[in-house]
Amino acid sequence: MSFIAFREVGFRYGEKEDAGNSILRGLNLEIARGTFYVLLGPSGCGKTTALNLLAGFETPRSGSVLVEGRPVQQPGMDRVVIFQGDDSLYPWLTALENVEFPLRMTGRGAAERRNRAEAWLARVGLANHAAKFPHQLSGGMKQRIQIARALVCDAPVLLMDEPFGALDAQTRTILQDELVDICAGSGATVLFITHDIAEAIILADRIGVMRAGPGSAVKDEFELDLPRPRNRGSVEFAAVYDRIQRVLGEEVQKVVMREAAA
Amino acid sequence: MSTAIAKLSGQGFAHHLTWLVLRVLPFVGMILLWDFASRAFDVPVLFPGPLTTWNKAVELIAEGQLQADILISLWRIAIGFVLGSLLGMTLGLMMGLSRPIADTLGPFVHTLRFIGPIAWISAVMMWFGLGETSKVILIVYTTTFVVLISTMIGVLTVHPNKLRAARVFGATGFRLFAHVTLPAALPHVLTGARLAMMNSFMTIIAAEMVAARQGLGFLIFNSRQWMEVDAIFVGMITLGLLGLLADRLMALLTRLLFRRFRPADA
Amino acid sequence: MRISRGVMRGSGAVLLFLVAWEIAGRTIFVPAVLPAPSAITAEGWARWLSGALQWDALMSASRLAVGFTAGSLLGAFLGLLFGAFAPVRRILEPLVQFLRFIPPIAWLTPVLIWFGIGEEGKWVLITYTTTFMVLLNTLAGFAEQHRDRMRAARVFGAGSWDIFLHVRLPATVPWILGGMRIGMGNSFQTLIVAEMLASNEGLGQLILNSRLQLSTEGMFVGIAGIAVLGILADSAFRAATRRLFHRYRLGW
Repeated sequence: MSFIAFREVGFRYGEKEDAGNSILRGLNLEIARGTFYVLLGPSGCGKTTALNLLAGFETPRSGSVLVEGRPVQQPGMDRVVIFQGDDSLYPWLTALENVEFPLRMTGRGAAERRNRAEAWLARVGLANHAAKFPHQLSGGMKQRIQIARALVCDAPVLLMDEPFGALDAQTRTILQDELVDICAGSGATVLFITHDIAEAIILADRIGVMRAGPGSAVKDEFELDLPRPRNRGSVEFAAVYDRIQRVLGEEVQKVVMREAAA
Repeated sequence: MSTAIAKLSGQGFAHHLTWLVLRVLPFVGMILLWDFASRAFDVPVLFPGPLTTWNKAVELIAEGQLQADILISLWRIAIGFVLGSLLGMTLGLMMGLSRPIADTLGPFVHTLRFIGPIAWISAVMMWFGLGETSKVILIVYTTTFVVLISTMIGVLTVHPNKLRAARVFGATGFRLFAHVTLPAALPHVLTGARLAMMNSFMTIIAAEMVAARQGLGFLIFNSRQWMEVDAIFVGMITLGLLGLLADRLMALLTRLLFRRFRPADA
Repeated sequence: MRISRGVMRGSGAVLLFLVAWEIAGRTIFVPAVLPAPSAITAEGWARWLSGALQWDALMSASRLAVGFTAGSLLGAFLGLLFGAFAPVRRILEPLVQFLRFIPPIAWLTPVLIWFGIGEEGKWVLITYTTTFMVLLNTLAGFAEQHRDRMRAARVFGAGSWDIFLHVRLPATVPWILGGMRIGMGNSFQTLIVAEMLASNEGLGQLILNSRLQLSTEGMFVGIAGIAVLGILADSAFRAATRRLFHRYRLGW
């Protein structure tokens, strides 16, 4: 039995089932414990919805989302989330206080909170900015705060929704490499959403490519056995990129044609 | 001390001086224009110049009249503003957090919003007497509405990701409110409070014009009886200065006490 | 037609309130202190039949209309002037930022002395109130930078007058309209006070004089009239501007 499982999951907004408004239909996905799983797909394919279902922010209309065999009920510290953009950070708290937040909510003592938070801030390279407020920091730094905040929880499952989407390419590359490092050590199971194939190959143990919506599900899966650390310029990297691109490219084409039609 | 002098000297000093002059110049210009206009108009009773107005101000201060009026007006505003802000914030939070409450109170809030406080002055005086209570109640009335609406908007516009993150990290119910919703809404509350302060000034002046024997509003309107336009001007300028002071003070307090909550217009 | 739960709650609350008020007005309170809604309605109807209510409402509305129109035009004009010519703004803006703290109603007193108690005085006062609000909002609108939009315009060959006309001015329209909306509300309140203090007709006068004549019902008729007029004016303004200026995606 897999650690995380989506079984015939369906999701839509609105009451009536019609061809147009179904976001996910018959989604099946299994993630083994300790795997870094990347969900790849064209825009609008429901990958964020899949993450939201696992996080507990939404409930499936049909099918079930299971963690260790038990259905997901609510958000919790066992499945921490790193959100797209910086809207989930608290602008009235300093970087340190933001990272301490989960520990405050779970009732840790002040000294322990500070130590663990400071350790993680240092780990993501923000040791000198602990007393700054988010608005004083760059986009990349704000994402690092989110990473530290999520990882300070020591959770078995990490959910990341295109965390590097709003950053410039250089910062993205740096954070990708750092993330690999951090997650290797923690042993957590990760679900990572992106539309960037290169990012997926750098990070993933396993990649799932989703179909274009509506009513999307996983089209194809790729097991990556490239040795780490992965070299973006290597021949093997390019080969995998090519294979994935063929599969994903078809789906992206469908989205482009659909948008041009409407 | 030496560093301060060093800062003031040299280029820094000239720069500050220019800045000060540019700020003050328009007012000096206006005063000169005022003087010119009043001389041209040549009916000092109807349109006194700056010098006449200044003399009147000195006279009123010497009598203690001006100070008394200022204090009374400010006192009424202060109490009403504090009470109104608390009430407005409470109701605004309730309406923002609870759909049923928003639906129930909504019609009343959105209707009363169009009835200015002074429309109620006769009724309020009848129910609460001719004293201070009535004036304060009107200030509470107007402050409550402004703060209520700002607070409600503040609560409703908290980004959902903030709430989701909090739920992930184990904050639900009251803790979600206290640790996330409230701090997130605070900038809007503070902006509303600043707006409410200006409204309070408007309300108290109107109330004092209609139904009081003391205060700046009374000073202004009552002086009409004696055709003392200079006293009227004194009252109006004092009002402007007080309002300006109050606004700057609020901005300063916000910056000092609520530095973390950076109001939307800071 | 399905009625939402929200509308039902709201209507229910209003209904409950009116019933409670009716009962209280008939039993607990003397009509002189708190008349029942039915008594107020009766008084309002009587005044309507006699034409007095229309007269008062129309007087208030006409003063508001004149002042609002003049004030909006003047305020927009001044605002655009300030916005177009930086030296004008730099010289006059500090003065504006000081004058804004003198409540418009305070100007009633000198206006009464200079213009008397006729219609002109009220028009001047309301014009001033609206002008100020529109001016302030227009200035705020011009403070926005829109750097990239202006740069794009320059790239595509626009001169500085073109930029003002096609980039900065359209960006200020929502602000001008917003200022008008707030100005209308402020003007209405100022007008009511002015009518209380110096007028023989109008809703403000109705409120104060009803009280003096011991007709509390009349006072409430006046208050209700103010609410109705205010809501109507605001709704009309919103509907009209939403239609005429739908390109600007106004928030109301």
